[in-house]
Amino acid sequence: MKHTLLFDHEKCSGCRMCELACSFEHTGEFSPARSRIAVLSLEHGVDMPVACLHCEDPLCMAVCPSGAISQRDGVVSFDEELCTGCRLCMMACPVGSPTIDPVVKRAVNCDLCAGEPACVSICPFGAVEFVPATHSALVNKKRIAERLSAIWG
Amino acid sequence: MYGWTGRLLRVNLSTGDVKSEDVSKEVLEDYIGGSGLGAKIFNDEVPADVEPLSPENKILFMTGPLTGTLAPTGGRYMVITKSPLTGIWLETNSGGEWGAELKFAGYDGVIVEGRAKDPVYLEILDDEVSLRDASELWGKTVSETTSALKDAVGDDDSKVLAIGPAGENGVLMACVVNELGRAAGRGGSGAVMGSKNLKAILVRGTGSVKVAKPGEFKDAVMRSLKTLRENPVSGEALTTYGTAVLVNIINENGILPTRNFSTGVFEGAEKISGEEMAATILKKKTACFACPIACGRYCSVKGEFEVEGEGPEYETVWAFGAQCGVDDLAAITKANHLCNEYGIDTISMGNTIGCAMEAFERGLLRETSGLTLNFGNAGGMVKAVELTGRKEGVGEVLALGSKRLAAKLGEPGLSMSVKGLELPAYDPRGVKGQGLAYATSNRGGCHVQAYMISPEILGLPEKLDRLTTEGKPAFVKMLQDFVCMINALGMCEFSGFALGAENYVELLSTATGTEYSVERFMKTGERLFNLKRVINIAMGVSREDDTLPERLLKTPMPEGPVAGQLAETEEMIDEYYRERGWNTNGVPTDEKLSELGLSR
Repeated sequence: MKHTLLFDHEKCSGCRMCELACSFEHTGEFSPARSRIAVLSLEHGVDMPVACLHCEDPLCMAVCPSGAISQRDGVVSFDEELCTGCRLCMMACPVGSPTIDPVVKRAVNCDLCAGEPACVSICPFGAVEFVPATHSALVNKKRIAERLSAIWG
Repeated sequence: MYGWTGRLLRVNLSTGDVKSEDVSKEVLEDYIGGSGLGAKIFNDEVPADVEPLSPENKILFMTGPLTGTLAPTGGRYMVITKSPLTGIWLETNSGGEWGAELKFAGYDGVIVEGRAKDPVYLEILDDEVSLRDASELWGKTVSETTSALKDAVGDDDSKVLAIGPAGENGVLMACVVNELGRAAGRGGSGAVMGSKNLKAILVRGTGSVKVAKPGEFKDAVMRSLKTLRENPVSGEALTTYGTAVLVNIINENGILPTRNFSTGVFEGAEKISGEEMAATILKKKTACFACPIACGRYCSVKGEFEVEGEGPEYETVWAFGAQCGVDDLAAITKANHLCNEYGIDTISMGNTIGCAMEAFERGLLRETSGLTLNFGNAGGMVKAVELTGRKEGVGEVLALGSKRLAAKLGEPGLSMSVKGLELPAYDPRGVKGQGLAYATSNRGGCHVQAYMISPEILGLPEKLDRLTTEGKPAFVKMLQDFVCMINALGMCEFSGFALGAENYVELLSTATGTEYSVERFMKTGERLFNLKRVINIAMGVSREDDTLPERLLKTPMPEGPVAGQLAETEEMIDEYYRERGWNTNGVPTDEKLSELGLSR
């Protein structure tokens, strides 16, 4: 069954351990610039992890002129050999997930670590979860319901 | 190199020269990094009698071999200089993200020397390093400076360390602030930056930190992380309530210094506690880089003291709370925010205002710019912070710190400081080991060079009888050496609530590829502590400085669980010197120095 990452900004502390774990998993080095997940620090103390949501009909794949992006078992996959580093995928992605790796100079993207995402394993606060894709919307609905019940209860 | 980058950036503000230097593996292995390597460089390069605010003083910004790695809490940097407040060794460290970013830019540290003719800031964009005009920024607050520099470079991911008006104005307790609310707080490093006309350092690093044994390092990280998360202090109390979880605990133990250390019980403690903060003004918890504890508190206050941003931590809550007799969390949060904006150490600021309040109530301090500076006056306290930052009116004398203030008023005993550094939030009359730690800390009145509260109050790693002096000298020595290592590695001392030497040893060894045993690790810590003592001895420190304010030695605690108790450092100091291998005047012997590979 297709699984996706689910982010919870209320649990995120902005520690960026996910970025370190991601770059370490993919490059063997600690480098936020080479991470495929990014924690955005927003106004009012809000921190928000962002990474590829593995769209059903990926815009990045549609615009890629070199056929470097494919979809296998619901996972959007980037091929560094075919990529030319043109950045069209970065422009097309609705969440801005792909980045150009500063070392290999090719587009890289979350590959869900073959089913065991490093960001999920490392997060001390459970702010990044790996859930069945069909459940992600349900999880959010449940969270909102819980907040409302706390207010009404 | 692994762990370390092996490179330092040297910036001469007088000549405008900027260059990268290599550090040898041998030096790194013996002095590690952070305040350890900083002490080595400082001792080699800066004369002991240097005037702290002169161009001849240097200021170092140092990371450690674990800064920028996944080692939990490995995001710190240390500032090293000669303190203008104390006139002795100063190390002061900060979290946030600046230290890790410097590492990703490819440097273990930055050495700043000389003095710029006009205000400048240092811009580090990986290998492109430049000094830029900061005359437009002079006079700006920390947040204004941070925004302006990020806009100028056009990269929101860049990290800014800056001073505020206090540092520019030579406020002796001025600090360095990064990421708006993280501070290398103590001892006046901000004034040193200001004296050099250095407003800020912006850094953006897109490189990486490599470790020698990736697989083993990851295993070590996961073990440490698990230990930290399962520990009741680092995994629960600090995460849920922040450091201010201590307010009620310390007050219940009768050692929350209240109204300039006149008692150890504060009637308003509950109203300024971490629990109260969580229930009222807390918006969310925040973490420094790579930290699984997240003791930071993003807060929002409405009303008279309206403010939003990084909230006060325990020491700050105490300094502007119990120490000033103030039980208003909103006013405390406002005072904290002003300190972050002006760039002022909250501990020394609150402690000094408490000292001024006692002097005011006793009729000794009369010129107060119209402020009624009696204990409990929240509005007056907040105003006093602003005046200090601007060095106006009564702020001119507050800016000197409590020691100089009390001396000016003819009552030196009113200053609750050691070696000129204001004491923090634990009355040593009820924690004997902490008293010895205050008296012998290399930077003066400070709790974190050996946080004896951990064993004496919290029972970590083992519970010690807090009222006995027995065994304390050896324990304090051990803890001081241990903390020297944490501050050299680039990790946060809070990791020490849960992690033992064996955790740090495996992280350090697998990251750098140099094998350390627990014995070598502790011996290295001892080397670093002694090196700082050697620096201090050359700066004039002697046995008579290793003591506490007379009030704590001679006036018994008036009430509460430790009523009748006195601090007992005199009873422990000789044994402590023996444990250290120092002579009776507190000077390291030649045998000890040679054992540690040090010389005078």
